[in-house]
Amino acid sequence: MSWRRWCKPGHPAQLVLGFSIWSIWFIAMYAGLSVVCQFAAPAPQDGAANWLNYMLWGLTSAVITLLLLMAWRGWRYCRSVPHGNRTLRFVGYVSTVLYVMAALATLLGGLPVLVLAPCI
Amino acid sequence: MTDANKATPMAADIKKLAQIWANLPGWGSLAAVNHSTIGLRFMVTGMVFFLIGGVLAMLLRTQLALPEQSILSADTYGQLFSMHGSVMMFLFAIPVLEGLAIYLIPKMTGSRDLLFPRISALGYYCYLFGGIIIMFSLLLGIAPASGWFMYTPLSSSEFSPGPGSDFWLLGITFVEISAMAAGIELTVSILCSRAKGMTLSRMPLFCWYILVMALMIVFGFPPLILASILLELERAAGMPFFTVAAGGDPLLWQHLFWLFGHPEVYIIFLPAAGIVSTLIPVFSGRPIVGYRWVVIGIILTGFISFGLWVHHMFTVGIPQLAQAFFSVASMLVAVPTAIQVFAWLATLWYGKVVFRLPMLWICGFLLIFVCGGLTGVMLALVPFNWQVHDTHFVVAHMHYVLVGGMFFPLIAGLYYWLPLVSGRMPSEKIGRWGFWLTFGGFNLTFLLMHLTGLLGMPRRVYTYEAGLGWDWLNLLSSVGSFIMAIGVAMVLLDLLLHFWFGKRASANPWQADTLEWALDMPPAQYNFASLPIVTSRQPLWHDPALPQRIAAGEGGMIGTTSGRRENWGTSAVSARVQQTLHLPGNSWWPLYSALALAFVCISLLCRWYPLALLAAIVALVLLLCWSWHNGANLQPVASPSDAELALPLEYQSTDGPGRWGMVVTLLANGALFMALLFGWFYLWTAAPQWSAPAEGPLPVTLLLLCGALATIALWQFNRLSTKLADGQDSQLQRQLWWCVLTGSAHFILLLSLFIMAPLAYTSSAHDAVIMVILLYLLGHAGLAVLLTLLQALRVGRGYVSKHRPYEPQVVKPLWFYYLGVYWLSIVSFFILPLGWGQVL
Repeated sequence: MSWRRWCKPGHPAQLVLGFSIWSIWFIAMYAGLSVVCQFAAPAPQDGAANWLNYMLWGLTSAVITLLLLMAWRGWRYCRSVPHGNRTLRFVGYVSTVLYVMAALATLLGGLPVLVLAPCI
Repeated sequence: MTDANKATPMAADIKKLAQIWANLPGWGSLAAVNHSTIGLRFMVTGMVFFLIGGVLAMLLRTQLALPEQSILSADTYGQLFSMHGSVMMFLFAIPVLEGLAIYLIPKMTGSRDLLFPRISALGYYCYLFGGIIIMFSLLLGIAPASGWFMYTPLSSSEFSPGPGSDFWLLGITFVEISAMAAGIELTVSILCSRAKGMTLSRMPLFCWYILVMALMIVFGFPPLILASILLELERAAGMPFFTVAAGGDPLLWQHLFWLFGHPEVYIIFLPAAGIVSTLIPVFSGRPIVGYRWVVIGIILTGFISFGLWVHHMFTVGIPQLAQAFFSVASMLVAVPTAIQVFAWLATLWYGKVVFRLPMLWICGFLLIFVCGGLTGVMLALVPFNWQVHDTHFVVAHMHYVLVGGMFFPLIAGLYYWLPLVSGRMPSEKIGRWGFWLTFGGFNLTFLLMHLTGLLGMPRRVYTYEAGLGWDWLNLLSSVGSFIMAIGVAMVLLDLLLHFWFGKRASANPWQADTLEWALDMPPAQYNFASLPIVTSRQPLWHDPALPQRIAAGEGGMIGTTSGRRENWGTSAVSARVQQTLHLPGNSWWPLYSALALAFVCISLLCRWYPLALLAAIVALVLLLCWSWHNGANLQPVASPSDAELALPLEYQSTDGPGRWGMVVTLLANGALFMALLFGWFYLWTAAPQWSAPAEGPLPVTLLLLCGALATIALWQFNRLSTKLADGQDSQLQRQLWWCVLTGSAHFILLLSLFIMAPLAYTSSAHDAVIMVILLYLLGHAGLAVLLTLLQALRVGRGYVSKHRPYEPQVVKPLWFYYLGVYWLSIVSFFILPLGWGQVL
């Protein structure tokens, strides 16, 4: 199955998978926030401590965990590839760093959830 | 391939190559498709539009030089600044960089041409005709006057009743066909046709930049294409997507425009940064520091730049948390840019820098672009953004980023690759004068403009009162702009004069490392007499004798006996040679198709709708005829140079560039569909007066039945194409006819539902969106059926069989795509509203 190949570390699809996950998280955060604020906005006096922010932070934490796991898997793969195979090492190394970057971008993007009220 | 058995290419081989790859003489050159010709045409045309845009800028600065001037009226000023922005962004920046990429990519990757050369030619003609149509509005004094971003409702028919907005919407959409064509073609060419051994990790950085830029075009342009179509439908047919009273929302335009608009900045910046990453190592005499980190930076930029669009809309009333997301993302994009800047600085630090003319422009770029980047981070901060929104500060920032980030590297690149194009060197003296005048004039103009903005001068005003503290700043800005214009004129003069008076260039005059310098100067139309084999990231530094060895026939695919334009098809990651590609030669189809499309555009502008429909049918017929003639050859001749490798021809295999091209095209199509889906949900949740009927406009059961027919058609097509790939072609034509029949039944049922649907599309945004999605589905269903019909006919003619199983594999992704969007549409537009109707 080609999809299984795509998921293996070292496949070039890994170069874009980390930030594709980040993109989906980003859309989910923005769209989720917009829809909830329109139709079921938490009370403003609750500040940042409300069910919506908890859910958004939960999503953020889950995505960060997933991305870091993928990075760890990529790193292990890089160490297992023979030094002679430069192309696979290149793809593995670059995609590992991109997973870490995606996790950092998710963390930084999600931090405002901890301090800002959502629908003001 | 370097073994002694391989024959050295004889003069006869070279002569034959030259004949096969030559453009037709005289008027026949209009049928040229070769990437060198098309790339140069893009660049020359782009420079002409640049001059026009520059003259417009001079007029604007003349008007603003002193307070309360009336050289230009408010309306004329509005037209000129709208056209200045539109021309510079759509007719200069992107096409010139695309032209550079089209010219360079095959040469850098060791190929003879791009993989879809006729698409390149179509793209060029769409660009040319679209540009002429837009410029015509200026000549007639009816140019768009709502800014290059065309915000609604200012650009809607109520406030812009003339045809100006229509010129923009139709003309720019026409030009965008060209950008999409280049984006798709460059992506596939970089991935599927590199020199043997040029793995991803050995690919020149310029190719990485162009690959990411091309993919950004594929995903970034469709939202604007959709927005333009919707606004034109609103203006021409009264479909109220952006009208509040009918359930629309003008902010939807801003979202769709900036979904394109912000990535656009990086679409322009990335190729320019690619030039910088190419030139700095050459003039530093060492490989770039941190190749892998630069690649990481490029990919990061490509993704993060899609998450910033709302920072253009911080003042429209968005919840603070949403603003914070976009603010953080806007600051994050500085990280990959900084990675690249530090890699460039480190390369300069560790190298022995030679300050030749191109390096002056690179240094100018570094200074200006870093300043522009810093003001960009300032603008990412919401409170500061609120303060300077719509002031000249933003104009100054934008020009620092775009002129610094694109124009300076472009000129550096033009000077650098000029000897390759002409075989002559530019004048260092005139070039240095040109640089210093441009650099000084630019900073005088735009550095001061930051202050003008901070003092509160709004942008887009045609004049201002005296005594507000803006007078001297505007005067100096205008003086600076004229100095800059003199500098640019000197550069262009230098570029022009060097063709006659420039010194003859020596081979590889800059001691560069990339493959294009292994070519003759100017290069032959076929680029390489034998295709190079790459063993290093810096092939010419690693093997200085490579140009001689390529010319002596020590590479691959020497000469040709098939009588067609040939190239290698290679694997995407490891660049293993997989197949022989027969590339199409000179053709009139692109010109004829573009002419028909231009006629569609003009007819729509003049509101001659029957004629527009006729022209659209002619365009479709021309494109289908083109596709018929572009397919497999019935009498393939094996190329002797490949016989020893037993390489299959593309159409004898089940995978190849055509299939990749289809998939990338569908990715672009998917981006357009997702933008439409976004628009639907946005209006549903955010439009102030959105209203939906209590019951859906179409019976869901019939839609499900319709979907079942489409599913059966896909199942039939998938089954027959899989069997074909396995070498079974019994009953192939019959199976295709069955697929056509089922697909037609689906199409007819969908068409009947569409005709019978009680859609009040001129008074309800809800119904207008439903109408658009139904038309979208009908168009795709019709196309899938039509292409399957052609396949059935081609089986009869012998073009498709178990020996030539390729074409159905190209059509198959379209069926999968269509079925996916059909069911997604049914759920999103017809089923979900039934459940949510009461809640929302």
